[in-house]
Amino acid sequence: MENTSLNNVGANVVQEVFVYEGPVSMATLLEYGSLIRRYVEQKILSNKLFRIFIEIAQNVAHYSEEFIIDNDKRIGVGKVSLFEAEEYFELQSSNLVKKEDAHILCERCNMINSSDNSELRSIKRYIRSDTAVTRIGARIGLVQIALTAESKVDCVIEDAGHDISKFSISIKTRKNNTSWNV
Amino acid sequence: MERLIISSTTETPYIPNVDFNTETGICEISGDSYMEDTYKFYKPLIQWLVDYYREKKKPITLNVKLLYFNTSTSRCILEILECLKEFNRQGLDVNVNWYYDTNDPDMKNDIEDFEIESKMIINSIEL
Repeated sequence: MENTSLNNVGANVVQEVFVYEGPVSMATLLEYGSLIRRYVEQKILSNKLFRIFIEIAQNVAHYSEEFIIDNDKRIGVGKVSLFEAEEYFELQSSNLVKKEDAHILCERCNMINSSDNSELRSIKRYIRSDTAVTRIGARIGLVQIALTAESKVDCVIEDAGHDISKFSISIKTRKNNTSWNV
Repeated sequence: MERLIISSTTETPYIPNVDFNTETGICEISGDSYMEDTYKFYKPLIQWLVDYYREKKKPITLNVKLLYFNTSTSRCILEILECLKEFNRQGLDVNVNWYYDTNDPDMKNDIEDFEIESKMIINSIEL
């Protein structure tokens, strides 16, 4: 259902490229990362989508409150999807988070969406320099996907029970971007 | 100390190729980097550089040819650059060359950001 709520943006017809729901393991990353690289021919766009996909998928893998244990390894469970419209691709992810964290994450998205490219790069540098290697986490990941996509990060919070929310993000990447004429 | 070589394979495309050469001081990282436990992977690389500096006191050249790295890898790269900056501050000759595809504007921005953060001079080299 959350796909529908995030999908009805703009007049474009949106077509599903893939929707994966389950434990987001390294095998998942490899399978769908490879699919993106095969599916999107334009190299800059393909790179951008691959990079955004890895970041959002690893956020689910590392931070989802729903998880499985496989060979003593914690693997987050959630949903990652790619949709295509005439003018853009859209990557989405959703996973369970603590209710208090959902609001922090949404505030972070709002802060990201009110910052320009130069401010985002400055924020990224600040977080990276300020954060210990072992705790770098999702703080910088959201900033990075906004920078890579050159667009806003939409987020939706839905109640998923006591102290738990479903946190969904959606990010679009334009197919033709004049700034890519490098 | 020994030469540090790590090879990416078709089963592990998420780890980069690493070749830190004890004889020449040329250290190369190439490929993709988005493994699960980033710090566990990069800690031995940082330790190798520290050991090389202490034992050899010879110039170090770092050649970065990464095609993609995730955000947790970027923190480890910054730590490597900060480590090299400290060696340089103590008088060691250190060179950092970062090779990038001209069709990758995001990588060029990343290099600029690393240069600002680490205060290391990074030679951007177009592939």
